[in-house]
Amino acid sequence: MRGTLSKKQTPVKFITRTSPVAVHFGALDTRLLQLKEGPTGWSVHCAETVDGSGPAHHTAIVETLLPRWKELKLRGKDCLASISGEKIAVSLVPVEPHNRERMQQTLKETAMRSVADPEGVTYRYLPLSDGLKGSDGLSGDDGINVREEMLLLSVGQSELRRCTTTLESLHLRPVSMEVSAFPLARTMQAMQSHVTSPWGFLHLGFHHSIFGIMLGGELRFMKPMQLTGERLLTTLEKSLARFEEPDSQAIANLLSGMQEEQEPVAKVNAETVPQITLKAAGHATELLHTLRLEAEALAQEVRACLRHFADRHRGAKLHNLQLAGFGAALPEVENALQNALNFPTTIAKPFTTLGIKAPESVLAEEHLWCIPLGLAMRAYV
Amino acid sequence: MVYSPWPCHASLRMRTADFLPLEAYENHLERRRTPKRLAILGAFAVLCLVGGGAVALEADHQSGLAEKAEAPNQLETTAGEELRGLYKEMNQYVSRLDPLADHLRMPALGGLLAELAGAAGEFVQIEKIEWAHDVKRKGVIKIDSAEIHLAITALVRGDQNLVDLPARLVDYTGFTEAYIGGNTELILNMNDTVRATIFISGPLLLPGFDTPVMHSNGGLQR
Repeated sequence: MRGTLSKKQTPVKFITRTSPVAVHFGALDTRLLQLKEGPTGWSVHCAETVDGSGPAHHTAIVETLLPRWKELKLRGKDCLASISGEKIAVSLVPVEPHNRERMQQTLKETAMRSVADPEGVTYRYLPLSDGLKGSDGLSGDDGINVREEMLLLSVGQSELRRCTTTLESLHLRPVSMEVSAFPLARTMQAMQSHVTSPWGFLHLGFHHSIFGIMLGGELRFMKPMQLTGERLLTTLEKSLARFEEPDSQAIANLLSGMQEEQEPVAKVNAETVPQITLKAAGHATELLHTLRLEAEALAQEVRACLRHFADRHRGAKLHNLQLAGFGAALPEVENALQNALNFPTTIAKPFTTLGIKAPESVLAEEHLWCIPLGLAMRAYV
Repeated sequence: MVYSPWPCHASLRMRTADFLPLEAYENHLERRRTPKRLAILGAFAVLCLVGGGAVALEADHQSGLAEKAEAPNQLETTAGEELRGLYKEMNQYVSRLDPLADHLRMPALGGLLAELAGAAGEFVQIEKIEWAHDVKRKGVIKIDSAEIHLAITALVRGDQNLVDLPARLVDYTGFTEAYIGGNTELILNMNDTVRATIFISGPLLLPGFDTPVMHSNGGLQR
């Protein structure tokens, strides 16, 4: 990897020739990735996508992959996995200085409330502003009386068990199970190592989206957002359908002032994307107009997060926003969000940016491989 | 409910929230650590080198032995030449040596005769021993049966002693038949002593036979 990886981690060459296996259990599919290092740099050794969603998708993964496991030619057993954000409850828990003694109890109670799982709840917490002052002096935790914030992540034991069992059924040895936001942030951090100001990332997953702010190489803010890839896709599909089929019913509905949300809408899924991309050609202006409302709603959410962040970091402003996930590459989404947010917004292309050689199939959807890449890179960045 | 109230560990780099125990990831890093892996690889390489060296030494040693074995030996060559000369010289006498060789191939009675006097017992004085091979042939080469005959002439004191003598000799020699010859004579001035000839015979195992076979007509001709 050029840039950050190669500069910081020259000894990587001597540690191993292949990264551990990265497995991301996504909402729509599960992705496996393994990198290898050769004389010309890092490249993708194996990249595999297994479609499947819903409660039985773990079984489907095993049934699909196990018969052709040897064909994948994965090296090593150690596996770093991540769980989709929709399976995780994310909470920001403020801890007052005079209430620090009760912090553990508060976190435990919050975790219990946030996830209902008969097998139990596992939670982890991360101090978002634990006195770490960035080199730019943007950290605002100067006084001892500043309210501390804990990022609390809770997951049901049953989900953890299903993921672990799936990996073990594939003869892998799970050594790490992260929330997808962290490997995503890791990938983005590798791409933005030169940026000293705060920067953000927005993961527009199909069923969930998450917004995070990074500063000094650490995650400083994270919050689930309302706008999802599914919602964007629905909006786009409805808009394009109207362009193509100006039937009398639609016109009648429009004239009668019927809200679009009240119309019966066909169920969208990931397979709709190529058709929508095809239909979108030549309708950029219209699509931007259609997405304006969605983008503006998201921008309001982001601005609220930024206000919160700026309060704690001396008015820090976001340098840029990286987009990833299913919704990132939908037609005109990038432009719509940039227009609404008023700062640079780009779709993440980590393989291209970091100079990792990858097959065409991976390069075609780099924004969907950010999480597996962040898992594979964990020991190196 | 299961609770894991551990805080997220600060990893070597970016902090993260890992839902598996920290030990699992630390063990993973440990497995990938350079010094340990290099030490293992180094030890393995040294082991391979030592093993390879030992095999090479043993191969050299065996190769040297084989070359030595194949090399011309001066003593052996000389002995071989002498032996060839000896054979050449012997070939001149082959017509006379063949019957001798045939005779020498026959079983010998030397070991039997040495203790025969003791086996004959008290008051028996052996005067003469005659022996003969009796071979019946079928055709020129094939041997049908073969026997060995001993005729022992001895002075024997006492009638019972004389009567028991054939049995004692059979026991000692392992032959199958024995009898006292008809011509016994009294000895002058030796009371109760006679000169008698005891004939004993047994199967003869000739070279090239598995089992000895006696004549079918009953062996000794009385």
